[in-house]
Amino acid sequence: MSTNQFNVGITEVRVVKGPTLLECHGVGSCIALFAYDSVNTLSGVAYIVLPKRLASSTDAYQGLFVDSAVELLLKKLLDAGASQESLKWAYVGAAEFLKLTNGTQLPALEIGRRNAEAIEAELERLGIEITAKDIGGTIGRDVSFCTSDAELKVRTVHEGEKTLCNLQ
Amino acid sequence: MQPAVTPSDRPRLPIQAILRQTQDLPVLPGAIMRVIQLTGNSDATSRAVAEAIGMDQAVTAKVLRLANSSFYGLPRKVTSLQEAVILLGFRTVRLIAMVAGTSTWMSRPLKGYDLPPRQLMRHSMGLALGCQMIARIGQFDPDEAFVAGLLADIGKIAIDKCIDGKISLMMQLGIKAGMTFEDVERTVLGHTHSEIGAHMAENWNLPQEIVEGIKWHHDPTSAGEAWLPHVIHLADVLAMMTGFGIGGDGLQYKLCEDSLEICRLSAEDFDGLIEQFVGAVLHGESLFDGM
Repeated sequence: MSTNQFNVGITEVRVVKGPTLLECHGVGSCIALFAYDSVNTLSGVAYIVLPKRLASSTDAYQGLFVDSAVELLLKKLLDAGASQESLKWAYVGAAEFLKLTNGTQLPALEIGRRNAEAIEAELERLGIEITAKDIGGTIGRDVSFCTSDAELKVRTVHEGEKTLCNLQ
Repeated sequence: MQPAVTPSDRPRLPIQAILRQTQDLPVLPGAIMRVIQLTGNSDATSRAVAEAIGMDQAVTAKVLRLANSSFYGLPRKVTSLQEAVILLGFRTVRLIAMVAGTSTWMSRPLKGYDLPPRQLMRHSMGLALGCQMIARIGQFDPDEAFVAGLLADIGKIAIDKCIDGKISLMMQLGIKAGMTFEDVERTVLGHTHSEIGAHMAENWNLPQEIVEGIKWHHDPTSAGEAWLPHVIHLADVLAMMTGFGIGGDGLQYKLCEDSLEICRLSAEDFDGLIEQFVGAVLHGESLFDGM
């Protein structure tokens, strides 16, 4: 069976059955959350931008926020036949800028840190354990997951490509 | 083996020497330069804009393709520039012409910056749309902001060859020393991509406001009273945070807190701004995907 390849964009929540290569390019302060059920060969990814929905937020992009995207990804995986016990999870991203030009930091502008905190809380709320994460720094990350070896790989310009974990 | 990059390396190549290293340096089509000049002329007419674009067949074809993209949702297919100007308006067609006139060299891969094909175009369109959005909030000229945002990173095209094979070491230096990537560029090349971009824009006789906007977009407070560097700065922050055409330089920059106030924003508005930005660029994908 041939491998389906998907370049996943921001706000996208995608679940794929069968041999798959999922890629997220240039993840900055966002979170690329991956899940894999090797028993049922179901893989999923959410490319999340912000920690939580605002009072003014519309339903146009549920994948944009941690507090709607994670639950949506889990639901899509379970609807497609995944088993919660077989799913392995990992996430990547949450980079930050250097300090402000006045040398301080404004918490509201620390989107990467706030995203990481929000996803930890949301995964705990949903009873999901994380296999691995690669977060922080000031770098963009290219992330890929292939069902052929179940390896989640992270590439940065200054460290090259490394295998973060195996989601088998 | 890659050459070592250390803060003691200060070659200070003249800008002209750097530009000479880039074969096929971007040239702004004459038709686009005429359109930009008309932008600053309050007496300019729709007909004059259509005629200026019509001087260049390749640009004309792209303008028509963009005008017919789903982004604008026109009820029928547009087949002439005059028709595009009538249906979309004089101001919109000017901006479309800018995108059409820059898309060829913006779509090239920038190996030095670790940007695959079309990623500079995505980033620049994100900047243009982000600038337009922020300028409206700050009650500045959204059209001037769009053009300046689109061209903000043109200096990367010229510098790319000079840093080819060095970006990994340059980022290591920036991370280790806590330097912004612009400081690293200055250390390695003697100039930043913003300075070189401004020099290119000046050579194209672009308005001084746009030249200054490009030059100071990573250090907007150094531009004095000008609003445009602050608008570009914030749009660039949004594009980098959301990874929209982000390169090997990542987020190795400082965020200027003054830019928020100048654009009539506060830190608490930032999440809403990002949400609005993402909506704008995802909607805009249909515009530049056709290029």
